Amino acid sequence: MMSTIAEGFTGADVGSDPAVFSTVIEPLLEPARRMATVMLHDRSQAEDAVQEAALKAWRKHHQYRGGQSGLRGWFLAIVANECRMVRRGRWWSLLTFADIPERPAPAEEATVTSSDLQEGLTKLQPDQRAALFLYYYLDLPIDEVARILGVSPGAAKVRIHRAARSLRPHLAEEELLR
Amino acid sequence: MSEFRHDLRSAFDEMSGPADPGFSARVHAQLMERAEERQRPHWTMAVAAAAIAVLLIGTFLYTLRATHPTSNPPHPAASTAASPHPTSVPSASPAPIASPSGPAVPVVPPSGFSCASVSRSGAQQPPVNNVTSVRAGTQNGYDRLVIQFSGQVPGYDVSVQSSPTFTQDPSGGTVTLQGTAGVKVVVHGATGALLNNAPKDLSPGYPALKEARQLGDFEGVYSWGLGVAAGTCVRVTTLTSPSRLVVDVATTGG
Repeated sequence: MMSTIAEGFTGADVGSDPAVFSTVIEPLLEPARRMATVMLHDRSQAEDAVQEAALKAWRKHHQYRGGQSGLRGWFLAIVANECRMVRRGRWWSLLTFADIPERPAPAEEATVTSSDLQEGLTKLQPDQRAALFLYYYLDLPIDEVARILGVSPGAAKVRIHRAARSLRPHLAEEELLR
Repeated sequence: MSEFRHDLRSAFDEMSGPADPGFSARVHAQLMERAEERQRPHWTMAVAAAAIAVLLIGTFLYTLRATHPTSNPPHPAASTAASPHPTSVPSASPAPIASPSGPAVPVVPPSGFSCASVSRSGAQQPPVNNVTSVRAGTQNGYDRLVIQFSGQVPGYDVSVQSSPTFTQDPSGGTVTLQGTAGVKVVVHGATGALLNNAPKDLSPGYPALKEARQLGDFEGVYSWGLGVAAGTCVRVTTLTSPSRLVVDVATTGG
């Protein structure tokens, strides 16, 4: 489990045992799956993306030097990258299979409050959705959001702000803060 | 918590659905299964690799075809054994001169030297060897001409003559070198074609070896003329690693 890994964790601690690596990233899989679903709007594609990202992370875990605190950002960055690659390859599958993304049926009571938000979110770019998700849902600091998205902290801040503004144009500035 | 954030979290929850308890087990299983496999190259890389392979093979075949015909004309002696070429080469077997004309006093050659011609027939080997270097030097008691080959030392004739005038091959013109007598070195089955910029005329002015000039490099017959002091005797030896034909001209012979 994560708690058993020392603070000075490096990829070398995992050694060559994929089982140990699997244990290390296990707490990150659910947040990663959610982020991927938010980015891709498709649960099965999101699951595939996280699986692929886990494999990629395993293959380059020897290069990881970030300690335990950086592990989440490192792994989520790989997942976000994988999602971007999936989206880039998607036009092909869309043309071939006319794949209609499956959307979860919204719960009845939530429909009233968040249907407009849902609709607004689908119009955003995947990276904008990811920024909102990381900031408002996972409560990550701006620096870590920036690292995951591969941009500067300033750019991450702007991205979050613009995305939030496009969802709630008339909301007061302080309401956008979390 | 702001209302906006609360609504956003609900929207994200709906989007991503409930937690899937079997998910981490599936990731774990896949990791265990595929952890050892090498990263599969993308199909574009496979296509690129195939294209490079085709290009390399094509270039190889092309160079094979291009170099094969051009490598033959400069070395037509490749067919020497099967064709009557040797008889058409006048310098191939000059009549050896039994003893240089000179004073009546008999010449006593130093140990190991001979005042007559020296020849050796080449061993069975590739028809043409490349000459890699020709150089002259002087030692205590003799001056030396060294012809170095890439393969074995081919067959040769070294003949002593009373004048430093030689016939050039294949032009037939005559050339007179410094000195008062001559030594002709003919190598059968060699070419200096690779000695592009090496000098073909050495004028060291040593006590015995006054001048050395390439007389011919034609149809596998490679010859040099040495202009030497009168009455000199020669010692011909071969050395290996690298293969060398060594012609020593004694300074104390005459």
